[in-house]
Amino acid sequence: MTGEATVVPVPDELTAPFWTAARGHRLELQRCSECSRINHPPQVLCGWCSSDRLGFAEVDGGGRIASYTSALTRAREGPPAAYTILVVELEEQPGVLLVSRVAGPRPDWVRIGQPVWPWFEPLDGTDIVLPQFRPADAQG
Amino acid sequence: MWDGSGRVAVVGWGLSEITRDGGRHLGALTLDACRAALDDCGLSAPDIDGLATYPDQPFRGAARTDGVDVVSVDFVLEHLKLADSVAWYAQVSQGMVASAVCEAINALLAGACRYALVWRAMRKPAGQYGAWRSDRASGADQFGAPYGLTSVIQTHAVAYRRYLHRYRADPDAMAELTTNSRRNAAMNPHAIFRDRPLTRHDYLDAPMIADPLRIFDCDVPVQGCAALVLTTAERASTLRHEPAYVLAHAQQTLHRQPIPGPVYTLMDHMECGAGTAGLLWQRSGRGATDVDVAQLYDGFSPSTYYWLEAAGLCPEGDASRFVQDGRIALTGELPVNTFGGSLSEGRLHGMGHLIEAARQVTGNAGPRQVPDAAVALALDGSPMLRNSGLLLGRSPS
Repeated sequence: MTGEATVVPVPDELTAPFWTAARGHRLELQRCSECSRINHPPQVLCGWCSSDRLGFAEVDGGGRIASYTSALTRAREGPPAAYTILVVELEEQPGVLLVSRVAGPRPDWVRIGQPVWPWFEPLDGTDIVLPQFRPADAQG
Repeated sequence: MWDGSGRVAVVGWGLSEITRDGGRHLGALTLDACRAALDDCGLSAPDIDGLATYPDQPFRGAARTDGVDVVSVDFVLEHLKLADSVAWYAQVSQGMVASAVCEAINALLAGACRYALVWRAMRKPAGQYGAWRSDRASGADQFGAPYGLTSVIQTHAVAYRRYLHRYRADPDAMAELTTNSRRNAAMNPHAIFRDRPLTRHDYLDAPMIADPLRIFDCDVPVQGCAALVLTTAERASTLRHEPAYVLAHAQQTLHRQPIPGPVYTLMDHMECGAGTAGLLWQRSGRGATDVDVAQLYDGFSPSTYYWLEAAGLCPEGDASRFVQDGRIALTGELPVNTFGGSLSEGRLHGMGHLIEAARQVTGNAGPRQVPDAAVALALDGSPMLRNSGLLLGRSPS
């Protein structure tokens, strides 16, 4: 995301394991030991069974695009640039949604139902790595 | 059926001036709206013994200075000099302003007050409304803002994109809804866009902000206040004009999905909306076919579609077709947002919808009057996770 001022996530007690795993290029989500379901974003109590026995585990990162919208950045310098937000639904557990971003004019592969796979994008000047998604058949 | 049906009524309403820039402080505008509501029903301030409001400003970065950014119960109590008379009050942060009205209705039925004044004050600060201003994102935002999810319009856009896909709906169909609301606003002296016609061409030619949502799919932030007065049916009959009887009230304050995700989904809107509408039908003993005129929240235009379907006013998935062919016009089979909606009157966050519903069933809508409007539906919220609504009637039963 060079050339744009990007918003930096601030990990906290609940979310730190997500960002630690992302630094290692792994997609780890919070999982309940009681009912085995994924909670994302991470919760204090399992949203499904209210247990507090919650941990983090790597997930199968395959997903499908559930929706998307394109807009223009309000860049601090230079002209506004196009980008698209993806809402990705995890195949492993329907209803688990992750947001991703694609810079530039919207590519043809962005459509509802498109299978996608995670890739990991370092955020320049920070120790954050952002999990992103791209078509499952892309090289990488 | 709810045994309170028809036992409480909206008996007066008032609005301050509504502006986009500058103007007087929100506290002054609120007193204007409250006094106008009192004049409307022929009451004076000492008659008021119940106060309720929904004060929070629904935009990112909102400040909280009383009288400037919000107008609290304390502020109105002090400046209308009600300290000796007020016996009941509620400052509501769940749902929408209709939830504050629900509280007032319950209080009146319980005998906690005799006349309740409810207001919604909306702040429009200088600069871009609700803009993301930070270079860091914490809490739930950390999974959205770093990806460019920094504006609420994007949340609505992704749900609407889903809607268009699921029901094979034509996005251009929304031109009918937005131009219809603008035509109605031309007959509303309070509407910020009363003098700005909008054609189908204007709508379709307008830039996308977060596609598929364009500039005219967004309500216009304004500064202003709208207020109304409620009392019991027995007291209502002694006041200045016909009462708008509350046939039912309802609110949805429950999470429908187990986890609050980074975006609200289409199903969030539909299930929450159906929950509230269902309560209105159950409590009133009425149904969708009894509605003569519908004021359906339109902070973003797709919300009106969701309400049309969630309330059963049209079949699921059919709203984009239902709004065609003049069906929702003033002269149509189901007039919708007869005052112009938030889209064209201004972002009064649902109070405009409640007041217009009361105007219609009391014969006070002037040139916008729908003939023989006996039952009016007013629904606030996106519907999203928290919403509220009223069913009002010309007669109590």
